[in-house]
Amino acid sequence: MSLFKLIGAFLVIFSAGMAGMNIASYYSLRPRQLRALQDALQVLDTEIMYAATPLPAALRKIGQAGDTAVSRIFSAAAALLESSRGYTAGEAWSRALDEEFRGTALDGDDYAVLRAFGEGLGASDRQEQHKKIALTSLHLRKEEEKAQREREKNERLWRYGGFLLGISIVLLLL
Amino acid sequence: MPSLMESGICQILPLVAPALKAIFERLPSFIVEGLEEIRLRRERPLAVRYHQEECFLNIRGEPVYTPSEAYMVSEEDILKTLQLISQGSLYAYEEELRQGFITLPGGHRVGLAGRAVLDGGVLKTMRDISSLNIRIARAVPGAARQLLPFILDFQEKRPYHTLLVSPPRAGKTTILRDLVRSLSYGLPALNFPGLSVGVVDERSELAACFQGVPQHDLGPRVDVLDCCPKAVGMVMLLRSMAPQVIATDEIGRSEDVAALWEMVNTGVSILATAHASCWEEMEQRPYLRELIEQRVFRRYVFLSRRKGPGTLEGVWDENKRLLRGVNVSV
Repeated sequence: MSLFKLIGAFLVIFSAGMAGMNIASYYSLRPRQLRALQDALQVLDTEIMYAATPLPAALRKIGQAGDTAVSRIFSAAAALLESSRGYTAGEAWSRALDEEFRGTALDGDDYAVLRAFGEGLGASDRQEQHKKIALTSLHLRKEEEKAQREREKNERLWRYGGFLLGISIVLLLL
Repeated sequence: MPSLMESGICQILPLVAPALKAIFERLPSFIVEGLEEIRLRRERPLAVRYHQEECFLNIRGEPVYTPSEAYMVSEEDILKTLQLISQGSLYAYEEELRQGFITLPGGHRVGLAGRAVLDGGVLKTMRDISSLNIRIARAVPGAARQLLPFILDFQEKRPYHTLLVSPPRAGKTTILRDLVRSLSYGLPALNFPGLSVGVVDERSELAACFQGVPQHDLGPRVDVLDCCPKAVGMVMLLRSMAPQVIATDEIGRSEDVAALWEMVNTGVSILATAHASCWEEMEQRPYLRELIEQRVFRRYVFLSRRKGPGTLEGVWDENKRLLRGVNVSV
C-alpha cells in the first residue's frame, strides 16, 4: 500500500516538475529565438545591400545556416518563392510564417512584427529594404528585451515551482 | 502545339500575375504560335502582337479589336508581374531598371517604362512602373544561312566587316545571333573553319545572359561580355580574349565609332548592327555617315519586315554596289 503511495507521490511530483520545466524552457527559448531572428535579418541586410542577392537564394542561405525553429521560416519562404507557383515575396513570407510559427516559442506580438516585415518585402530598391529590415530589427529587439524581463521573472519560478506544486499536492493528499 | 508552348510562352506563364496567367492559358493556338510581344499597360487593355498583327485580349483569352471589350490590366497585375519576374527581389535589378529592361530565363526580355528617378541629372532608377513589354525570344537557326556566302572572305578565312541595317523589330539581332553561331561552329559545307567570336552584349539581347549564362546557343567558340558598354567592351575583349570576330549590337554613338576605328585595323572582323531603313537615313546620322565615307564596313546587309521579320532586302559592298546573286525575298 505504502509502496503504491510512494510511487504515486513520486509520479505527481515528477510530472508537475516536468511541466514546470517545460514552461520555464519556453521563457528562455523566446528571447533566444528573437535574438536568432535579428541575426538572420542582419545577414539578409548584408546580402541585399552588398551582394544584391535575390531573395530566394538569400533566404535559403539563412535557412541553412541554422537549424532552429526560426530558420525553418526562412527555408520555407525560399522554397515557396522557388516553387514558381506565382507567389510574391510578401506572400511567400506570410505563408511560411503561418506554416512554421507554431514550432517556435514566439508570441502574438512577435507574430505581428514578422507579419509586417512581409509587407512589401523585395518590392522596392535596396535603401527601402534596408530601412524595412532595420525597423523590423528594432521591433524585435524591443520584444527581446520584454521577453528577457519575463524570463527573469518567470523562468526560476517555473523551474522550481513545478516541483514545489507537486510536493504540496502530495502533502495535501497524504 | 506542345513543343511551341514549351519553348515560348510556357517560360513566361509562371512569371505573370495569376489573373493574366489564366488569360494566357486560354489563348488560341494561332496566337500562341506566332506570339511576339505581350504588352501590359496600367489601366489599359491587354494587348499582344503575333505574326505582325496586334490585337487586344478579353478575359477569356479571345482576340478582340475594340479596347472597351478587352481585359483592363490593373495596377496589381503590373506589380505582381514585376515581383514574379524579379523573383521577389526588385532591389537585385537596379541596374536593369536603369537600363529599362530585364532579361528572363530563356532569353525573353521585358521592357519597362515608368517614372524615372534622377540623381544629379543621371537616371538612378525607375519607380511606379506602368508599362511592361514582354518580348518573346525565338531563336531562328539558319536565319543567316543565305547571307553567309556574301559576307565571308574565303581567302582570308574570316568575315568582312559587316553592318546589318534595319528598322526596329526587323530581325537584326536574330540574324546577327545566327551569324555568330554559324561562325563559331564553323561551316563545313563552305569549307570554312570555326572562328572564336567575342560578343559585346551591352543590352543583354544578343546572348541574353541570365545570371551570366547565355540563354541562346551561340556555338562552342564564343566569349560573351554581358551588360558592358560597347566602346569599352570591344577594346577589352580584343585584349583579353583575342577573338577573330567581334560582334556587337546597335552602334551609332560617337564613342562606339571611336572604338570601331581602333578595331578595324587589328585583324579582327567586326559584325555590328544599326537602326535605319535605307542608305539616306543612315547618311543622315553623323557618326554612321563617317563610317560609310571612310569605307570601314565592307558589307551592308539591309533587312526589313516586308515579308515578316528578317526579310532580306539586299547586300551592298563598301562602294554601295548591290551584290548580285543574293536571293532577295520578293
